[in-house]
Amino acid sequence: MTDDDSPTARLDDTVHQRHRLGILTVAAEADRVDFGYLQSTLGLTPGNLNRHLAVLEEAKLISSHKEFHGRKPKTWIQITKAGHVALAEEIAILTDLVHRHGHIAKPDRAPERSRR
Amino acid sequence: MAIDQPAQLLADLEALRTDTRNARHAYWLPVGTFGLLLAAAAPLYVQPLVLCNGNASCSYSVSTGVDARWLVGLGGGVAGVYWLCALIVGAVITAGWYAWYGRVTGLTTRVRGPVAAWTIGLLAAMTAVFYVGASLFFYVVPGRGFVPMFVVGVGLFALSVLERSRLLAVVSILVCGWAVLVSLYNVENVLYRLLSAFGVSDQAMPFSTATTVDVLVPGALLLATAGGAFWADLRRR
Repeated sequence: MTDDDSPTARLDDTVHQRHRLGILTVAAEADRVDFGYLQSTLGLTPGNLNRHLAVLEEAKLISSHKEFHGRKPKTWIQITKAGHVALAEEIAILTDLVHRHGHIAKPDRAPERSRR
Repeated sequence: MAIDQPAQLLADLEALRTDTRNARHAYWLPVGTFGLLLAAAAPLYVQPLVLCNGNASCSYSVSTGVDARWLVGLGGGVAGVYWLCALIVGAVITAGWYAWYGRVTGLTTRVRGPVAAWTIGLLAAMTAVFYVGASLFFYVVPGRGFVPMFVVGVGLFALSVLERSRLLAVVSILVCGWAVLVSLYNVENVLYRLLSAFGVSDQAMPFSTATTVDVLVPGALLLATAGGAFWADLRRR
């Protein structure tokens, strides 16, 4: 197997990061996602989440915009078409890796979500 | 990279996806609203009876005084006005509900698809009479007043695609199928046969109210689906 054939060689460094994959996965499930929802779902600090969002936005995988609800600002995140493609490719590569190793894991637990 | 990492990561992402999808599900209100609107239409389908030569099954329809031609596709008369208002109310409630729910949960769903399906269906039902004219199909099928039920089902199917809900997809297909069935066949005949099998005499048959099963069955189905979705939503919280 050459380096190019290996699934790991096809992994995108921007997407292949646990939290950034989480952001894309959540964003792909809704039309828009609130910053606060992502923060509580992924258990990240605002600074950390902002850094990951900046990386994804720079790669044009997500877009974000601010809205005011009364005096309260809200940041909405939306996945782009390129983001959908990148997420699908990453999942396909991961699935390929799992199949090659014939190893299937079960989730330790469902990610915690804040009660609303 | 350890061998179990991709598998674990995939499993975690799948759990995250399921959790987000469940948090976004909010179809119980529009489904319940349309269930109520269908059930509330039942009085419009009661057949007034007169005795014809002593036969209680002889029925006639009462003139409603609302005879606009563009209402024929919606069932005509009072039923047409009712369905016109019901579809508008249902679409407005759905759009408003999802806008509010998105702001509260932080996960928005764009419901332009279902609202467009209800609007286009409504306009098509109101204007088709001017294009199709007096063809047999047009006067038989919409004349029974179940085109709006089909439009409700199509809109709910579009909602099921947005919500990625298999249950709602199946329920909306059932509603559409029922609308086609009651448009082409008198389902109340099945009820008469059932009642007859249980020993109900011809004189005791509910001839005037039996036709309400046409709207009560899908109404009950939608209300049960909404109740189940609401209960599941409560349990998740």
